[in-house]
Amino acid sequence: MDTFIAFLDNVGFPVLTVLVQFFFGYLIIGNISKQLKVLLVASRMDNSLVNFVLTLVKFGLFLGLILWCLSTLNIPITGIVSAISAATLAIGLALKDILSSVANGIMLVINCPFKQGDYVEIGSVSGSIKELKLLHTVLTTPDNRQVMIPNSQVFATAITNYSSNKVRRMDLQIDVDYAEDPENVKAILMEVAKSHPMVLPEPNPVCHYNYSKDSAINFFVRVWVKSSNYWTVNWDLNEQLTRTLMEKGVQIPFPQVTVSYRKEEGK
Amino acid sequence: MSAAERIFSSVSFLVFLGTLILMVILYLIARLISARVGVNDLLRTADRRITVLKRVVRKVRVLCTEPSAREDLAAGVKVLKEVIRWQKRSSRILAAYLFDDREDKDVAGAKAIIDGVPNVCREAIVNVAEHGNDNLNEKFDNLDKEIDRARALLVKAKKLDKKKELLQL
Repeated sequence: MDTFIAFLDNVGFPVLTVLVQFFFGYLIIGNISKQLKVLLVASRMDNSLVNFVLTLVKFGLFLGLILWCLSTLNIPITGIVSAISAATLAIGLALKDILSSVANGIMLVINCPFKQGDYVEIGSVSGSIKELKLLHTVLTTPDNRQVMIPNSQVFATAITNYSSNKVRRMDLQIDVDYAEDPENVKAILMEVAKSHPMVLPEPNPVCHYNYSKDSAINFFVRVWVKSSNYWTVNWDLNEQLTRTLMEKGVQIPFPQVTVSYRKEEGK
Repeated sequence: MSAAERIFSSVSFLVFLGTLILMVILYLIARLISARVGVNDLLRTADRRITVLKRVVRKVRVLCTEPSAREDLAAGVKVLKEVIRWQKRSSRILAAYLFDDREDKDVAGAKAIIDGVPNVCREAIVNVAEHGNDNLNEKFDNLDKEIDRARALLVKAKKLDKKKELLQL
């Protein structure tokens, strides 16, 4: 009987206490994260950042809960902490990339270079931001592939955000035959550019002679459009410019080579 | 001392009991706060808040359609502030719901309707101030119908959620 009571006293009740701590702690953390989520969403924080902050807070709370449970089982936390400190160098070296990803994720949250849904180019990858996770930034490419880039890489690379400004300039180039009148071509191009409903009137569309190529004169057309309409206008305007030039009889050249034959004497 | 007395008077048992009571109290407090914030059942909370919003909109209607409405504009503005407050409260909960289920068109539709309520009330008050309170009843009737439609959308979303839960089982 004494052995049983001693067992209960030393093992049974502490284990039960830890189970109670863990069970209720788990429920409480779940509740806190639910409340925090509503609070963060209400604060109009970007969705990708909400996920990041929630993961970070959950991770911290669970770590605290586990340490509390360990201390209840009389496992010396200070010993663990000092062991961790002693192994910090090794852990730091082993987890260098992971830790730097977490730290860079925090830096991304603070700097907010993009928000969910923004179309960005990070290094050689372009796509819409889906989520900012603890270790990765998740992008969805236009052909619906999911790309996960480590946060450390995202932070170290130049990020081009195509959605941060509401309007973008679009540069289009058109080649016409040398025989065409440049003024007439410019007038046609300007008319088409100005008449497109998605082209912004301000700043004004611009059309100029660009340079002479081997078989053609190159003109550029610059228009300003809403970032969200960029590709629609790009495809639309390219087609319209070509079609209108063809309808108005402007020759659009193809590469040509003039070959001259020289007749040698006596042959 | 009997064995039971020895067990129940041991320090580890008292620690266990104390922890159990403490954790239950903490859990209840967390639940209570969740219930106050309305995160336990987001759609139910949103529905309740929309009901209150509808009641407040009725207050605006009464104020705007009274014969002395033009002289009572200050009261109208005060109630409008209340409308905005309840719209924000409802909208916040719906936004939190949409955070998890972004593709729920019913809830998104309900949110869009609720977000538009303050504008209609504002326009009504401006209308009263500038032209008097003609044709406002029709406007408020439509608004009432719209709010009811938002609530119906929430009920539909709730039913779909239950169906999904059942299918998962």
